[in-house]
Amino acid sequence: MLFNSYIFILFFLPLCVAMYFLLYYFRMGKAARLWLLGMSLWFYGYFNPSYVLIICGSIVVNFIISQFLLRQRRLGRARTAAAGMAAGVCLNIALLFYFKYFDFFLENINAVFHTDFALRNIVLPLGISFFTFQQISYVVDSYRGETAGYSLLDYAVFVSFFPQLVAGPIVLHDELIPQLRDEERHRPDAYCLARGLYLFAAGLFKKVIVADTLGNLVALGFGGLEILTTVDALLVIFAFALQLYFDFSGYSDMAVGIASMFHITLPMNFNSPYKARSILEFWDRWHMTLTRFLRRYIYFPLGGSRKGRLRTYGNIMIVFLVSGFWHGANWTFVVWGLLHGLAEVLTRRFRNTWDRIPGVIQWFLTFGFVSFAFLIFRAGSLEQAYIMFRKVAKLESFQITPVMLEGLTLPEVMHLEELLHLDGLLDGRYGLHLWIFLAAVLFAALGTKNCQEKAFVCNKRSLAATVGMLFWTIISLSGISTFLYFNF
Amino acid sequence: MKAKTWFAGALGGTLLLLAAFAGYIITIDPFFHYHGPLAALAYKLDNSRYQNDGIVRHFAYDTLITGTSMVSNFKTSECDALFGGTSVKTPFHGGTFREVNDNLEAAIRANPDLRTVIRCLDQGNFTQDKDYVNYEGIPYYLYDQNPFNDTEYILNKDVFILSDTVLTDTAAGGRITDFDEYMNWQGEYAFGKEAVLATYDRPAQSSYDKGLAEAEREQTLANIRQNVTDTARAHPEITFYYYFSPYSICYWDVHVMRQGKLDWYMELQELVMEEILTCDNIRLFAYDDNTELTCNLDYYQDQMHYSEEINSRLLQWMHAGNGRITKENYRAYLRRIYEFYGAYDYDSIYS
Repeated sequence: MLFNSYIFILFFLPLCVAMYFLLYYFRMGKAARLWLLGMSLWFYGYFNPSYVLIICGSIVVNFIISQFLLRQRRLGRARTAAAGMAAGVCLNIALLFYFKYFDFFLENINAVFHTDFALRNIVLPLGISFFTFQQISYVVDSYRGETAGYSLLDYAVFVSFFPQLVAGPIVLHDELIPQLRDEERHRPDAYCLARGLYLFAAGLFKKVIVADTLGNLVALGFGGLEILTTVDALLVIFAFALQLYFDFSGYSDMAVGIASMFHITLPMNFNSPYKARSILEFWDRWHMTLTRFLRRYIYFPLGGSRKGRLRTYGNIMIVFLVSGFWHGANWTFVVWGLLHGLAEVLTRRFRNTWDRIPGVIQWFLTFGFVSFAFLIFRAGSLEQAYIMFRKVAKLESFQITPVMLEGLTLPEVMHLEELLHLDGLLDGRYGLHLWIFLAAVLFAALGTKNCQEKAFVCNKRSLAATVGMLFWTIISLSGISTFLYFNF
Repeated sequence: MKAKTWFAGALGGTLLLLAAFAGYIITIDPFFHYHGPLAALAYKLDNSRYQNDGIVRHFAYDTLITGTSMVSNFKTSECDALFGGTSVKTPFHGGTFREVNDNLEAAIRANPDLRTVIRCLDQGNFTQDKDYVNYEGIPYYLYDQNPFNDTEYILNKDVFILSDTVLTDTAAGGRITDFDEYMNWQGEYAFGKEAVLATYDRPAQSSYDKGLAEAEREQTLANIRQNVTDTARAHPEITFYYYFSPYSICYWDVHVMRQGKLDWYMELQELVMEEILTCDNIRLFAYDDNTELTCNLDYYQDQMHYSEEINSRLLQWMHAGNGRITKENYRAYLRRIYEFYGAYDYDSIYS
């Protein structure tokens, strides 16, 4: 199920929250947690019920492993515990490898060795990258003896908790399970409900109105790659950087907002990353819970920065290589990860020089690098990314293709202009819709505090904003399709 | 402001706005999901996959013209003059047997007055899977009986804009689109040899020495039974005028002769005809033996699509019984077209 769907907003979410607190009100704590687990599994299996078996199997196996590790620790069998932990981590990676990377692996084997292994066309279970990392962290923390006293139900609710299940944030057990057990949080809190609704509305707006509209322009660009002008290509590159941010951070805001309605606080995942003035700062602000995971479970165990400069740089490259692979099974993601790793290494190596550069130029270089690197992330292949880069580098034409000028035009805005007889003034010739939209989005990303920085206040302004955003996005969830008939 | 008040206000305010929005759409109902057109409003009929279901459920008619783009240029006014009664038209451009028949079944369920159905059977679709549909994104939420997924319709800003357009068009003195105009594409394309030949490249000659395979035979029969004959057999009170789409000589060249599939094609036609002729209430028509039509490219826009003049003639021919295929004459018909198209000088098309 998607957050941005009618069934979720109008049925699933209100029912789930209301019933959860109602069960606690009648002192049926276990039933409340079972309810939350059941609803989370329904949420997860909505599009493909077989996914439920995968996640349930993964939860049970990881819980058994964690119990085994805790027991070995109690018995003082350090080597058995270490071997068990390694086996547990490998098992999770193997599961992820099978579902996410097996076909990619076969494709590369076929390409290198001219073999003909048939691809499996495996359907990737939703959110498997997120819950696999979450469970790896749990196995490692069990080895460290930090997970004692959790029941299978606690653990299952923690992993499957639907707000964070398919797109993060990557929550750790010590952040969520104690809150789920805290009796103070078993009663609805009006402020948390209100803040949650506000955050949900803001996230939904970011996703549906901002990101999806930017996505139209990006799709237009990638659909007509060969005919793009230099300015078109630049537009597509920056539009995608903004689309990705508003999409992903919008989803995170929704997750935090929904959790808040359950009186649960989830960690922040984005902190206005495009305000960053260096790659180091960018990764402190972008997908922060992934950065935290990679730092805690890969970078530090590898030695972090304690084993000399070269080793530190090597560790950074390994972390970013893993990050690249984690994002997707394609060489584009690997190159993207390595580029970021390289940028991080260079920034560290020449930090003194970097610090002497004026802030505006630091920001410009950082935003430019991140945006161009995201182009590789978006491209279907390295070749496609190369074509786009070449379009920019050739500086061939500074015209904007007319169809691109209308790429960010919202039908409701057009309709309003028609009603107000402004359509002659604002029509596609000048591209005003495009420039106004981009300016507004850039201002929102760079010139304002983000949703989680601002202290939420229950006042008329936030009320009107929430109602407005909810209304606008809900009526934008559906549209009218066009059926092209190619026989004509 | 107290958080409780704020929360109640946010929920209440949003629900109120959504209810007003939905109410507006339900009232105007541009896709006729809840009711027929309100008198005097200038509805624009131009989106068949969204409007056809509403048309068959809420309009007053006793004759239905249905099919693919092959029926778009029929004029219901001509149909009414010939057949009597009142007709509506529900074309599905790029439609398949399943999609068209689902709409027909909806019409039969909703309208006890339905007496006549005029439908084109696209010969190019005979061998399709019985459940095949050409497009993704078809608005099934309008077709089913589930009121909960109506949110896709009543909370849809694009539909709201359409509803608004209905009112502004009405204020500007407009009127509802009539069924002569609905989905009619005649004015959008050029016709004639030059136009037709510009739509394709002639393929190289292939050979195909196999007849209709058993799997193709079974799939074709399943398609025809589910989407043609089962429906007709279940409704003896309705008379079905079904005709095979008369494709141009270029279609015969590209899809039949250049593929080396004349025998295959004839077997297919024979199979479909024999199956359809088991239904007494289907009046089957075919015009491939009308070679003055199929060989005159002035009537065609591409290999398959004929002009509205042919639609007019088809109505006249079917009404008069010309071109009717019966158990007695279908073998002679097939022999005639086999001999003609088998011997035709196709190179002459391109000279």
